[in-house]
Amino acid sequence: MISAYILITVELGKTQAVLDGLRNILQVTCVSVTTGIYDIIVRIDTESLERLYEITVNEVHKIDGIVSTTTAVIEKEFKTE
Amino acid sequence: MPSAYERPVGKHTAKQSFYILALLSGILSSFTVFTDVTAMVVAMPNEPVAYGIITQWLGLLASVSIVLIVALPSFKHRNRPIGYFLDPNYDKPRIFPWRIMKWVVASGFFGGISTLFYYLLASQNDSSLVLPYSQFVVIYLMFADLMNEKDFPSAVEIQSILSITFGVILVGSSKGAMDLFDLLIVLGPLNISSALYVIYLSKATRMKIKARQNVDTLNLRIWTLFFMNIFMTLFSIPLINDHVMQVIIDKFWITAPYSVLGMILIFFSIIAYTRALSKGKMSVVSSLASISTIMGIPLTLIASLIAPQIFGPISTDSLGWTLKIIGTIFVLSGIVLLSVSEVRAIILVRSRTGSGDLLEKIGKIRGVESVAAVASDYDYIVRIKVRSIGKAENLVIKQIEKIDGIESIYTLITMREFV
Repeated sequence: MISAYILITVELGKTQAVLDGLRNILQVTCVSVTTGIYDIIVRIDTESLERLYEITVNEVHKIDGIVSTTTAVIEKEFKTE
Repeated sequence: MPSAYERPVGKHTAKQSFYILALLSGILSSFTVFTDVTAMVVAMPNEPVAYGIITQWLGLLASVSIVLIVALPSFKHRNRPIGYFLDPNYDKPRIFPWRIMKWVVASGFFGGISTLFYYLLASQNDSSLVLPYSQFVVIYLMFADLMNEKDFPSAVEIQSILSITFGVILVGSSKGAMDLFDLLIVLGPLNISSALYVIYLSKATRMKIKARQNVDTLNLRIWTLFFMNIFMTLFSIPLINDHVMQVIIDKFWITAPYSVLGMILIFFSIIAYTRALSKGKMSVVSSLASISTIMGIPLTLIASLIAPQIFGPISTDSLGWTLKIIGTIFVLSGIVLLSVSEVRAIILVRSRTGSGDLLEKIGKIRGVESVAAVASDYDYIVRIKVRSIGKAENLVIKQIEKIDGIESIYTLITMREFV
């Protein structure tokens, strides 16, 4: 299983539209709207790197209002509890 | 069968769903005042053990039926069971593996003790007297949270939790005094065992069945209730004599409808409670759920209007009403205070080359929810949850900066989060 964070910059005024678009992607498990150098941080959990590629290229990138994305694939994770 | 991770993120923010669930659980359980009081007055006065046994086992039967019914696929989404809408983690009725079941058994053991005490006390006192004092459990849970270093309650939390608890006790004391000995039993054994029940339940909610599948609250409820009933029945064996058996047989059909109705309400209330428990601190969830005491005021009023012979006439005691109003204000202000103070942030960390693995060092800082080592422009993505931006700065960000090997960090404050 592959998990990744996608750091997204959004076109001004398109945040809600982007949120609605992201909500339609089943593999998206968490969406955070943030202040700072990125506007939206998305977490994706999926089966393989290939599938992750398909989702980012065919689904995330096609959402209107997204200016740029940076994908950060998780190599190892430490969770409390 | 869709797995837990293949579902769309919710419409409500993470914070909204936490508060909705915790408050909903309190509101649902407050409606049981109708069924409980009616059953105790109409069906079986002064027979707490018999009533307890009938109610608990019928409750299990009702809960199992609900869990089986909601395993059917829903009309709109054929590939999802109806139970998905109660808890997205639910897929089918299941037996948990022993590593999860041991917490369920422990939770059931203490739940059984506290349930038995509750039925015994509620028969001698008005049950609406026992309930507010049993909210004192929040104080024990707060100590349990305090001992859990990762989940240390902040000053704001302690203040609001105390405000809610004392508010609840004020509302409760407006109904008159409880016998001192009974009060000590409530504050001691009853509350300690219900605190342990919540602690083990909370442990169980944080377990995973498989790598990506969390324990669902529906199955969790029926198994906890099952063990709770077994222990409760075992402990009440010394109290069961021929007379009690006779009462159970004679009054079974009169009591059954109230018991089943009440336990169905409790089932949904517990589902909401347990789901909230998996998202936040035990003391916070429990104090939010104690909104049931406030809800109890208008509900008892309505009940008294409809059936004064069962619920008694409407109180005209001015001191009582003053206490109720002050208590309500305390509870509501505590809830508002809790809900406005919560900050989440995501921190992007770049480390120096050759600094080694910093994953655990960052993960052990208090307030850090999770940290992921990633392959990207950044090396670590850290999620934090604290009670104020000031605390985020002092406790978390400064601690992260202190770690040797970190080159730069970017803090993104979360405004809204959907899970």
